[in-house]
Amino acid sequence: MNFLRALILFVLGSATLLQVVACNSADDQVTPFSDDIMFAEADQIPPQGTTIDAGFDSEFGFAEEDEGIVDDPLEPWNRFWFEVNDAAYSYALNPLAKGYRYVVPDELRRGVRNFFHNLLFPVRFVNCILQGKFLAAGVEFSRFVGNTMYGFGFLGHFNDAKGIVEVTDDEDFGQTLAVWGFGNGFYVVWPLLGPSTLRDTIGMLGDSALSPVTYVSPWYASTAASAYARFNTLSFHIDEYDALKSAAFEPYSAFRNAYIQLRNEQIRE
Amino acid sequence: MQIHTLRFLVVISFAVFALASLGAVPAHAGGAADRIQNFSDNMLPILQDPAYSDGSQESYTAQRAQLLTLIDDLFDWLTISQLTVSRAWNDFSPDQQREFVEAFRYLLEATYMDRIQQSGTQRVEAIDETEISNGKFEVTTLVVVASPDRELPITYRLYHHGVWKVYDVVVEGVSLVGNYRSQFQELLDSHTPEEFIDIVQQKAEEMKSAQNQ
Repeated sequence: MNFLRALILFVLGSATLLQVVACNSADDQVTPFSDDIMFAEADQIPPQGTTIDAGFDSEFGFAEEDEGIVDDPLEPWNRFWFEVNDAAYSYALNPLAKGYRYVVPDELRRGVRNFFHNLLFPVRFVNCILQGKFLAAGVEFSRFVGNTMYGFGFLGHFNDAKGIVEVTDDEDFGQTLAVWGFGNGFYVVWPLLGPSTLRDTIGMLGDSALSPVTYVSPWYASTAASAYARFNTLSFHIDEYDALKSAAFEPYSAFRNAYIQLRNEQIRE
Repeated sequence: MQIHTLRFLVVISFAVFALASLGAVPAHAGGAADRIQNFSDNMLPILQDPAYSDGSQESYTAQRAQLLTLIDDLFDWLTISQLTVSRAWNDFSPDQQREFVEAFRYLLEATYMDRIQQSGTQRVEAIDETEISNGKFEVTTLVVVASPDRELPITYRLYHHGVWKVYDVVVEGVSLVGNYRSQFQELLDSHTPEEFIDIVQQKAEEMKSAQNQ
């Protein structure tokens, strides 16, 4: 009885203590800003002669949000292929994709996108399972069944349907590896395929084993099919590429950073 | 007697526990989302005002000025600039710091305002708030635009100090501050602050003249 009472008291006591500590630190969090940036709201531009204090990053913990950092030991190789890909994009793919976008009606391009998206269902399904996202796997499965039965995968009616959970992005093996604890390794730019990392390259190989397109025979039909799928997807994203590039000071690091940030976001979701 | 004491202690502990939980709720919860909601509510009528869509340069400029007033009110350009320059900020003289804030803001204006004005924003959906850490909040929104027909996920990062201020914007998973920081890091490794500010000013002019063509 005494032992039981001691135990209950200990548990409640420590829980209360933790709450008080948490409460205090929450109070601290409300006003973490020192006077050093007071002028930030008083006046957007610092007045003449104002020095802005050092240690800004560490003081407000903004530095910890420094996302999109990755090792880049292959930088010369990567820069070379970045330039090649960019030239291929600017002089061949971009004009082609613009023509394609102009000629092919929106509905048809969406249909093609839906078709390949539906075809790649095994990749998303297996990776949902491997990441323990069983509800998302269920949503993927029912969408696949719905899309395949009512519209042969082209209509994609069920893609936007709200499931029991929100499926926010397409799971792939690179993300699965990240969930299992693998880091990026290092950044790598592949000819034509574009930016990737060591982990995402392994992921890409894993996914291609699950993609029905890989097993199309002969090999050049399979390659053509996946190239066409990528090209069709590109036709939806021409403006974004151009926007990021035209606003960039250093396109190479801008794209490297954007790729890593985007992947981090996909992994988080 | 023992049982009574025990019961009393349990009740007291629960009461303290409950009170402490109440106190732990952040004082500014909900405020960040409200601020962004308010921002969108003010932006949308200006973007959709038929008075500005007569195609004349004057009305376009007038619309931009209206929008910029709202944006300048919300965005903390000083903090944004400071975060993109990061460690090198302290090597800047106060004059250089001021010049950079102006140049960078001008660059962002030249880069994004056309797209904001021409996107045909229809509505802003799903405003959702989460605390990042340390009194900093993240507000996610879904902006529905007409051309091209799509939903654009835009996330604002805010801190509260008297008023809510935005210190970063994340579009489709890419943080503006993070992306510019990585590029500026590279430029600052090989340039003096003065050269660096020149480059930013030139780029802003370049973007501006590309727009006017």
